Amino acid sequence: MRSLRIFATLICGSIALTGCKSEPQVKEYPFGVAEAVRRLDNSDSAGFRYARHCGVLFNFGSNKSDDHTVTWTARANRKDVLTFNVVVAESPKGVTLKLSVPLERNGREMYDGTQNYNHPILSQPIRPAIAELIESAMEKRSFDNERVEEEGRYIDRSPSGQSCSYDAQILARGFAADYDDPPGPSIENIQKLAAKNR
Amino acid sequence: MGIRTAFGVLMLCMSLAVYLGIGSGAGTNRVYAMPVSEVNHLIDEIDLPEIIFANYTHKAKHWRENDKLSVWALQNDAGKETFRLTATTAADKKGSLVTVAILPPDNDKRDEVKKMLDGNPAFADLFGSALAEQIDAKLNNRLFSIANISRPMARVTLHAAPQILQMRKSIDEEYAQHAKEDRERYDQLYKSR
Repeated sequence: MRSLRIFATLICGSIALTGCKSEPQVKEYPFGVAEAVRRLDNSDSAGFRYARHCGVLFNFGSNKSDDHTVTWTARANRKDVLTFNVVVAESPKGVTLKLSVPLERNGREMYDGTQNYNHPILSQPIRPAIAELIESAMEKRSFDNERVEEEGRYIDRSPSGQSCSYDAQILARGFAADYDDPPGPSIENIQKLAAKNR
Repeated sequence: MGIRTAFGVLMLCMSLAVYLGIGSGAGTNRVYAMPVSEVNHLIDEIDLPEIIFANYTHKAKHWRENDKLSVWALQNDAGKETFRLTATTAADKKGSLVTVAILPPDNDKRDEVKKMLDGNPAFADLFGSALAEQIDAKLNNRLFSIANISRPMARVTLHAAPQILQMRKSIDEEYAQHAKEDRERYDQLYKSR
């Protein structure tokens, strides 16, 4: 009788636990807020830009928006074309970080791997690469694209992935794409490429 | 001892065992219980095993020098002899003794190839063993068996390991240099704006 009760308790317990889902663990860094913000603001932005660029030349860097926040901004054609920020919060063993990437008009994050841009500045999805940018900053090392999770490491499978790849190839020949141009290579760049090939 | 260390030691022991001769290897001197003339006839009918001489089998020139010596001259794409294999037959108390050898070519590259063969005994051993195995298969009316030359093949692999590592290193260096130049070109585009 006693063993039956234990068995019933185990069954009920298992059923109850199936509804539970463990929350993804938030990583803690053993620093104070000021140190974390300092490290983030000294991230390898140039390495990140080099590893993830398409064919548009753009300025990219970070600044401390406030004591807890670092914001990265990408500017092309004298306007902000992408921003994201990391908010540092105190935690029991140090600090935790929260990354925010703005949404596009379609309600999804910018450069989330599903967006379409005529001339993207970075290969998608960008969030895993930003995660590596943050991690490298916290470890005070250079950005390493090889550490970006595999799905977002090399191939841009977004609707503008082909455009990114095409622009990057033209940039490798020395001719940058204009962020505001319609899709495809500009007439000017085609002429320059043809002249170079002659 | 950790499991990785134990595995490493096991692999080392296996490599040493193979290297020191515990394994299958075709000897290059063999006696066959049949007359020399019959052995010669069968030797002259063989093709070099493609699995080992893939780059040479269709370019190997074969002739019988005399009733003791059969020769295969391996040639490069330009038709120039690179090295030669020989099978020597001699009468023995029990029948016919067949001895195979790998030799430098009879041309201006002779010294160069001799040096290469002397410096890479594992390769010479593999080619000789492969020819001996092919002859043995023919004389025993069976198929060529790769298992019978596993030891010289393992030796070649072990000897090639440093070259493979060196090759890998040079590819890595070339890649790093290319990446550095690519990055400099990219940075230069910003500077020249």
